[in-house]
Amino acid sequence: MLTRRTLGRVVAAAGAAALATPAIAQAQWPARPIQFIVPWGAGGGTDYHSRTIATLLERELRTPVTVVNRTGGSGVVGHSAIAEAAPDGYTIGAVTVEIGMMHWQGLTRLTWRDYTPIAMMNLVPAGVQVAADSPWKTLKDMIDDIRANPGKYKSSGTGQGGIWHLAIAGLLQSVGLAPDAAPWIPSDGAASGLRELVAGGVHIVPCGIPEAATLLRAGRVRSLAAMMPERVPAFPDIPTVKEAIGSDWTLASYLSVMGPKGIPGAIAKRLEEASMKAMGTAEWKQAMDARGFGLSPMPAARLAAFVEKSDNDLGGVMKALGLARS
Amino acid sequence: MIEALPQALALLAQPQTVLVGIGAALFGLFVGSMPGLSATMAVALLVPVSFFLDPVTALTAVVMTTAMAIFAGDIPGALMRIPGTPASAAYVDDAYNLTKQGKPELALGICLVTSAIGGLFGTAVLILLAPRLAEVALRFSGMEYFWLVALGLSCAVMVAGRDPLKGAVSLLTGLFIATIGQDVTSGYPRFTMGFGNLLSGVAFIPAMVGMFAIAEILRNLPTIRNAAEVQVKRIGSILRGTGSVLRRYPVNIVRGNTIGTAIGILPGAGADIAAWISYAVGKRFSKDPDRFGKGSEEGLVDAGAANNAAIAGAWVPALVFGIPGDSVTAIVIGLLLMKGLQPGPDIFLMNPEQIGALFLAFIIANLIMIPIGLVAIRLCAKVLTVPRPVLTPLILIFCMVGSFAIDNDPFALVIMMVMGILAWLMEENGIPVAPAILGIVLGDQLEKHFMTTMMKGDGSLAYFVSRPIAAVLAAITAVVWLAILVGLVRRGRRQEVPA
Amino acid sequence: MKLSDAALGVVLLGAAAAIAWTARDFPMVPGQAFGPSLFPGVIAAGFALCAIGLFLRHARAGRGARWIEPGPLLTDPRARLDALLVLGAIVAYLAVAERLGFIPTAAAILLVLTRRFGASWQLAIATAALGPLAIHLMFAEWLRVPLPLGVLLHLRYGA
Repeated sequence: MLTRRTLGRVVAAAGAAALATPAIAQAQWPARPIQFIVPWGAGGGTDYHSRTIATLLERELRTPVTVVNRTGGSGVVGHSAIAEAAPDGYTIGAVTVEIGMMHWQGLTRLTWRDYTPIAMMNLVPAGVQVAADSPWKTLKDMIDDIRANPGKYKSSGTGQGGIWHLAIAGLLQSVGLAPDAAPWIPSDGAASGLRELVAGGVHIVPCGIPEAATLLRAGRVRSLAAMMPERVPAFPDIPTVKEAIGSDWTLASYLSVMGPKGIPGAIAKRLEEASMKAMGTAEWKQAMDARGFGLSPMPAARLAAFVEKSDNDLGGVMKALGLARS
Repeated sequence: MIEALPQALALLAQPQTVLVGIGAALFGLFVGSMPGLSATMAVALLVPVSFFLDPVTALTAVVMTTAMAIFAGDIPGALMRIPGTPASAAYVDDAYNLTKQGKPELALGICLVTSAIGGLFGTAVLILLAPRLAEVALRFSGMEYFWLVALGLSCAVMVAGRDPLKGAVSLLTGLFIATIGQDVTSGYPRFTMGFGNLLSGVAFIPAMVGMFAIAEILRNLPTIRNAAEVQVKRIGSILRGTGSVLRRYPVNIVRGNTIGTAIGILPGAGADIAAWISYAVGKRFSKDPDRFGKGSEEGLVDAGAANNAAIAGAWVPALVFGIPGDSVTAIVIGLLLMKGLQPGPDIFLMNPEQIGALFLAFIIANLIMIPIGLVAIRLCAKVLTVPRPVLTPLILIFCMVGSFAIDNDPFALVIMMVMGILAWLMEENGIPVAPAILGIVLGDQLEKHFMTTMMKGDGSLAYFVSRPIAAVLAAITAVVWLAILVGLVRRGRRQEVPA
Repeated sequence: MKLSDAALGVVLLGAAAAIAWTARDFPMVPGQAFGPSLFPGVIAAGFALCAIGLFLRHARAGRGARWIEPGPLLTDPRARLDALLVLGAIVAYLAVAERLGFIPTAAAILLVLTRRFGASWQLAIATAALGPLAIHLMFAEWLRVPLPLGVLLHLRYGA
């Protein structure tokens, strides 16, 4: 039982520990459980990937890695929680493509520069999905039809100004159409957008190809093109945008592990190595294969370069669409 | 599928599977009975464990955990007025008032047995009709959902209490709370007063914990020192007591099961709407509608039967098309895929043994739920023997932890407190709280589907009835409103005659 | 605290005005004649209608009713302090739990409230000592809810 005397001892111990030098703390890292913050809800794709890598990191670092969903504020709350945590390596988290979008929209001041990049978990290639009974057989059919009837066909798959909205807007813009020639119908996410597509409520869902994998396989939707420089290995039958209509437009969402800015170099290195090792295991490969995700691990340096480019590209599209406020 | 039954049984009867299954049931019971922790959380915590299990064992664990966690979610609702899900908010007052009358065992017994029956009914539908029903569910677009939500809200108005005016005030309050946060059409932040935490709206669970539990604590403060604790009347065998209640309401059970399964199959509509509609329908046709909300065993039967049937129904689109019906099945789809079971119309043909074992697990889960649940009810009811001066502060701490645990966001405590004060004020002024809760739950969806349908139809209202299912739902909604208006006119006349 | 029909009507009318005023400069959906202000506008109109209904009811039957009936929670000094302590406990938790940790904060809240509500010292201390530990064990250790450890962090993990 917690009596007054033990309470005194507790306070004394806490004080003594606070005085301990950071060097010793670093050498012993990790001495306690690590929090892995996920800015999105339990049950989503980000949550699934994060729980998978957390389990593997746990084995690698021999300390519990606890997944904590910090949802809310369209991702702002969780991303802020990662950036604002103490940079001691005990708080890391899943930083997603939205970090390169929210600051343009004026939702937050945070950018990827407020984080310590650790490793890329996954790239999610965008594809152009239509319903199985759609008259469009190729991307060219679709673009021609939209050119002839601007505003008639509706697209959906995420919220207004979300990543997949930018995917279709950028694609249309790249072939000389107005970015809103296929007006955007906001939805909660790819799953509800695809539901609308199959139910006949919308005509195009430009979401991540793996997100549509089960419906692709069930023959309910068709993917006209992948917004990638090369064909996606898991979906070799889907042509690239370049092959289909000659446009250079590409877009991929991403999911990375980052920590708050200023994690000591040695600890960041440990985290990076452990993450890369985790993503080399058979378990990770199996988990990714199952959902149709390719393997695209990247160490910290490449991750930083990728994120910087993605941030600039997205900013360009958002300005063209009038979605940028800063 | 029948041919695969022996193999399916053999898969399930492995000692490892049986042990993991029982462990999972106890785990689900524990997580579910903690205020604020839901079945979704329980299943998410299972994900890392499932890496090390074979497919059938992993799925059995999920099924056992969900079934128990959903029943157990009714325990804090009945004992402390802390509802665990938006669906259980439909009947939390009935369960809690039964507890205050000294009948917590009966209230929870009804929840338990209707859960099991609903689960079995939903499973039967899943086994027999899954592929065909999933086809129907896939025809629902935003337009149809709009009418479904409108119908749900209209039903609630139809059964509004004695004072329709104050009921309307309450419903409008809930609808207003639902508009807080980023607007669906443009992402424009509405009424957030600068709080970033409000961008995605007022979180349900903290709001409900505040409106029910915190308001209850505030209301009871003036009498806290002299009120005796609830005298729990032992009803002998819980099962026998429950059975005699359920025998009185066979129609309600079947009706609740049917409404629950039908609405539960629709991805994204789910248990929330189902429980409220079933409760409203139950009240409309009840011989004793005035007791609804004050400890009606009948209302508990209506909503409970629908709630759990809906949860089983959510598996239909998940298995057949990989479209999650709720957040639990969203995680399940991930697990299925990881274990090499591709959801799809042919999942039943490709993996008959595993799917057979999954269905068996459903049936067994809903059966063993009863003995485990009975023990849990007896144990949990002991909470009520704790003296009020100790129990009330403990409930406060549980509310705080539970609200926090949903999003791990301390701001949830602010929501809980503000909503608690609001609900206390409302109840002091004779404004019922239930319509407000319904407004919060459905307001979001009502506006979302209305706005997106308007955008799809380029602002044309005729577009709202341009598809057959939508037109039918619209017609039913119109009939409900006609009934409401006729009722109002009649009531008006009756009041005027004596005056 | 019970308001008369007329007073409640005034409150609702105020709410309607505030909602409509705030919603007036919400943007429109591009290319459409509606936008985020549509639903708040309808709700504000609904509140205004309800207010009119309450005024009518007041005119018919409510004359002479007191505008505000404060009720025991606000008039009884003891209950008033109880309510302040309960709400204060939530505010205090928000203010200090992150630094102090869940266990000490919850223990302090439980000790104060159980004593205040009339429990004996023994019972109050037992509740304050065991309750938070048990809740921490269940939520934080077993179910991995990140309740703040605060000053107990180093005690729990040594380093």
